Amino acid sequence: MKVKVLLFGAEQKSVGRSSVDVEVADAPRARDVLKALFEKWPQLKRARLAVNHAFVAGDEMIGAKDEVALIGMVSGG
Amino acid sequence: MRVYVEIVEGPLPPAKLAVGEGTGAFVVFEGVVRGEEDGKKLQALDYQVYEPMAGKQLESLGVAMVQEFGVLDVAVWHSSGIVKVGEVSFRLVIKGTHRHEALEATGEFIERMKRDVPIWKKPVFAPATPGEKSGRSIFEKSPTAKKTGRKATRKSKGKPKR
Repeated sequence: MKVKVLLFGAEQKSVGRSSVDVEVADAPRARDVLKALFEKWPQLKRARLAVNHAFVAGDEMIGAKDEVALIGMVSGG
Repeated sequence: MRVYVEIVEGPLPPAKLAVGEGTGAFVVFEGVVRGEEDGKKLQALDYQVYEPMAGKQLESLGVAMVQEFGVLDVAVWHSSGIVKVGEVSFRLVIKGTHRHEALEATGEFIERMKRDVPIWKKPVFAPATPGEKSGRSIFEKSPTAKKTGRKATRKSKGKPKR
């Protein structure tokens, strides 16, 4: 299945897009999405995955309607 | 206990704050855009906010401060978009019964925010003059970073703890 991943900040700049699509097997977990992302864009490896606006662990299941985002180093304040 | 979070387009307006009864410590922290970064003259910071997640994360942080430090109320405002030098981009207000927990919670909130809340700032540098370093923005805007002037307000439904 295809998973759309939102990008922000330095990750967005690095890839040159505000989102990317990654192809993973059906019923993926967060770690599968990260693996697919990092294989294509190794420079993203320090970032964390968020699903539906919360950080998730690697074994979190990801559904077709979930909002998935890659969150790198933040700099609010 | 009450937790209030608001993302505001542009700089934060001056605060209108009420202390309220039962408060022995009233801590207000404001983050102001400095005039330089890495030795280069700055015009502004452009904040990119992943708004739905940032709102949730800030609210969770506020609740955590109440639970972990025993403060009474937490209110936080953060800017999205352009904030010029000298303007306020972040305000945290923590009310407590005593100063110790209010001050501790203030520091801890900011530490966790800078680690976990999806907000990014890019510098907008002033045009370089001879002998000065020039600067450029480091990333582009995301379509999900709202710049519509809309205010996103999140309020917990709990009653103030007294």
